[in-house]
Amino acid sequence: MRRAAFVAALAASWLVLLLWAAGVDWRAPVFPDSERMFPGSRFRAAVGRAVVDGSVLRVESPDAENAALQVTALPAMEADRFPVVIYRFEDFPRTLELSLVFRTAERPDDVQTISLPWPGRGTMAYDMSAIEAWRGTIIELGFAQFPTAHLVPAAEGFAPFRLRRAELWSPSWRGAVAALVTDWFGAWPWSQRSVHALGREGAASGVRSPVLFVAIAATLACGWAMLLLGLRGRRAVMVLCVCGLIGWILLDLRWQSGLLQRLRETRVLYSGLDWSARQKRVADDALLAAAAQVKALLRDEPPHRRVLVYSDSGYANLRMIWHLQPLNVGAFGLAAAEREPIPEDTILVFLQTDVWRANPAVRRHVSESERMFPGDVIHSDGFERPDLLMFRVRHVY
Amino acid sequence: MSIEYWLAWLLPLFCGTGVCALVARRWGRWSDLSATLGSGWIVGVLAAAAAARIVGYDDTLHAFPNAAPWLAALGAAAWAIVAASLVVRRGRGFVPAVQGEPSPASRAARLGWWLLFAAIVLRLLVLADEASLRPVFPWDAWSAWALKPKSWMLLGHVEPYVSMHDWLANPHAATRTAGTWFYPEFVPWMEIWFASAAGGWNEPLVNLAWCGALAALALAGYGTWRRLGLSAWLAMLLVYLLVSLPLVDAHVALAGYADLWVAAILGVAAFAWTRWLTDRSPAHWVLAVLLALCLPLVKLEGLIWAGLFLVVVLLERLPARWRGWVVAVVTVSCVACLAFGVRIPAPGFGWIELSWSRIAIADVQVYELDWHPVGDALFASLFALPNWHLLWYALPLLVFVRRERLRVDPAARFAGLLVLLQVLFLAGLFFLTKASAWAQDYTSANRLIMQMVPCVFAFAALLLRPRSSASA
Repeated sequence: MRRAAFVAALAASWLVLLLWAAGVDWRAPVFPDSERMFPGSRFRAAVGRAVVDGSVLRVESPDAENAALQVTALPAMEADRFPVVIYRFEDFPRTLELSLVFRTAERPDDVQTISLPWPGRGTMAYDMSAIEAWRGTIIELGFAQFPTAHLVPAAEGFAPFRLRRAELWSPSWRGAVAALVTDWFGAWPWSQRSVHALGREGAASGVRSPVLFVAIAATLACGWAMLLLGLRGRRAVMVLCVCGLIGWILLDLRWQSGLLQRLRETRVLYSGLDWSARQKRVADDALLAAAAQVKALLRDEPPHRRVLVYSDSGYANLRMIWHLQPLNVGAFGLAAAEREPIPEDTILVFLQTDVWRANPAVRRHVSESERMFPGDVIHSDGFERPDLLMFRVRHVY
Repeated sequence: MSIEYWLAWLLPLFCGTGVCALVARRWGRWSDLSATLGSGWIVGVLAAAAAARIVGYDDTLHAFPNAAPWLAALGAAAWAIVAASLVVRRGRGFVPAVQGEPSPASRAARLGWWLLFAAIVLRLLVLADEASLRPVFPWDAWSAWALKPKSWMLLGHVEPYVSMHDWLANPHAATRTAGTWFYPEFVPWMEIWFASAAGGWNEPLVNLAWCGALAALALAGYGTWRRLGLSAWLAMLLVYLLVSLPLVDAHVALAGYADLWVAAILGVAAFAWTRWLTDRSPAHWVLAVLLALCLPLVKLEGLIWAGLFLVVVLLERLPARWRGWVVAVVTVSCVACLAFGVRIPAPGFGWIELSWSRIAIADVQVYELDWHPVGDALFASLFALPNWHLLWYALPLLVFVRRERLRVDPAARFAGLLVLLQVLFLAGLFFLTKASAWAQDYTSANRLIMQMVPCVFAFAALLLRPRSSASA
């Protein structure tokens, strides 16, 4: 009898805990009161190319920027009434990132985007109730895709896929649990943050951490064992340890599954290629090409020639330095901050920036310098902003 | 993969295991073999990086072929001494017992052991697959750690990295610059060792070394914990728990940061030290101290970890009646320094100023001491985000459950003191200095925590060992 009570209490408390972790509104019904279904065929391609194929939208190609966006206008829908977004894609490539896009009647010019996990083959759900921007009246809903940031070469991320449908659900236990499943088991790609802290890939949803859930579940098991089975001391601790160990293994299976999902994306990109091909297959292939161009232009320079790089983006700046190796290259920003003058004949490389003419402090460095590339544009007086600009420093004494 | 690349893995193993076999002085059991292989590979890679630095400075492309004979000779010398000592001990009637570990208690335990072993191997294979495919990915890996070896490999020789000021001031000097020019150079030279063996700059083949570091840490941990008296399945469970930690795995899959190497070297040092604590084998003590002294060569914060480690190591060596006095004097001195402010000469830096409100290193690095409320972010990092599974729940629970062991076992007490000092250091860093930003924005905080995690496992193993081993 005690064992039965223990099992019943444990099952009930774990169920309540699961609903708490899912962020269930206790006043909400088990199933949604209202559901609005939007078949893929209702969406149109706002960016890229897509065609309607029966009830689905077949997205065939991205735009010139390698992005795609499918949107549909909604009958004015109160965000609070429909906090759960359900979506389903087919053949979605692993090399694309997916974002939910929406606009509200209150701020029609403000397009909001929320990162979503890789949709896989199943139906996914996302609870928007914790998203600050999901307020007011939703007038447009869509999905955007682009090559995974920092991982996938821009031109190689896209493959055709199909948008089957999207749905908006009113609050319900079912919707919250579906969102929990997506949140806990959704596949996210590696990001630059992965070596610092895991689990912060998407926007904070209303779903609670699986680690917290497992820790509380193990504690509940121990508590019920003490209360209902009368376990004390070593035996109670043993229950806690066993539950904790099982919880650890479950968390690890989830993590292992995520590792395998990430590995599949890596394999799509690199499997079967030798190193010389792989090193060219990087997300910043445009920077790699620019670096190759700079290297070609400087091939006759003496080996110790100083090269300074500037870009408005810190990432582009450092990546350019990386790609330019083995040139003797440094960051222009650090050099400009020094009291020491930039040496004669130093090469200045400006990437996707107009700082060389817009910023007086930088302009001072290039005003007397010799423009190396491109050489066919009028120096500094125009409004041109070439992707790559190179000067050879000349000082007037 | 070329034969040279395989040799780049095997030579550190040969050399390092020779040194560690000298230290262990017994290798009849699987646990000895495991500990020797794991610790040996880490020691061997340190030696390989040093050898590459010495002979590869002017010819990085041939750093491996030029350094390999030296490493082989060092390994051969170590193994020759091992063999000679074996002969001498045999002459004295010592017969090394080549034997397996005592059998696990039950079929279930054996099954558990094999399941855990399979899970660990599978994990390492998945991580190795990921690391062996991709070019170097994480930010600091390409902007800081791999920049020097890549440039030196592509140049074919070393040009020293200097500050931007010096680089600009001497435009014709064969020097280079980067924001991270002053970073320690173990990782760059370790990368050159593997890259030169691979025949050129090949990032996936270099990055596989991170997988080797984790595997070596796992082997060293298993062997050490078995020697501490843990049952086979419990030692394997601890290894599984260590290898399964998501942030550790991420650092292997996305190889390139130095933090895993700090963790591995500090971990192997801590494992050797626990052997000293339990077996009183002086060679393990020496190995632990030497490994700790290598930490500043890996990363700047390695100086702090080495300092904390050596404080506890030396405290343990003091006669028991002196310890209380030394701790009291040091504590009072620290409080007095903070309260009244003091400026201490520091060779290499100029001076260090300590006061209640700030710590300053020659006006260059000034840490204003102020309270920073980063508890929420740290709580999320340790207890909610999937970085550590349940590690930080399990540690206080284990300490509570095995508090009696802490009372009776000096080894567990000293290991606990080491972990306590590390935790206090990190707490001070995050709550009292501007490093709080690292916790608040979820960047470096977890990486610093990761560096001390193997010490936590060493402490846990001492708490978990059976009463009979502890009393022995």
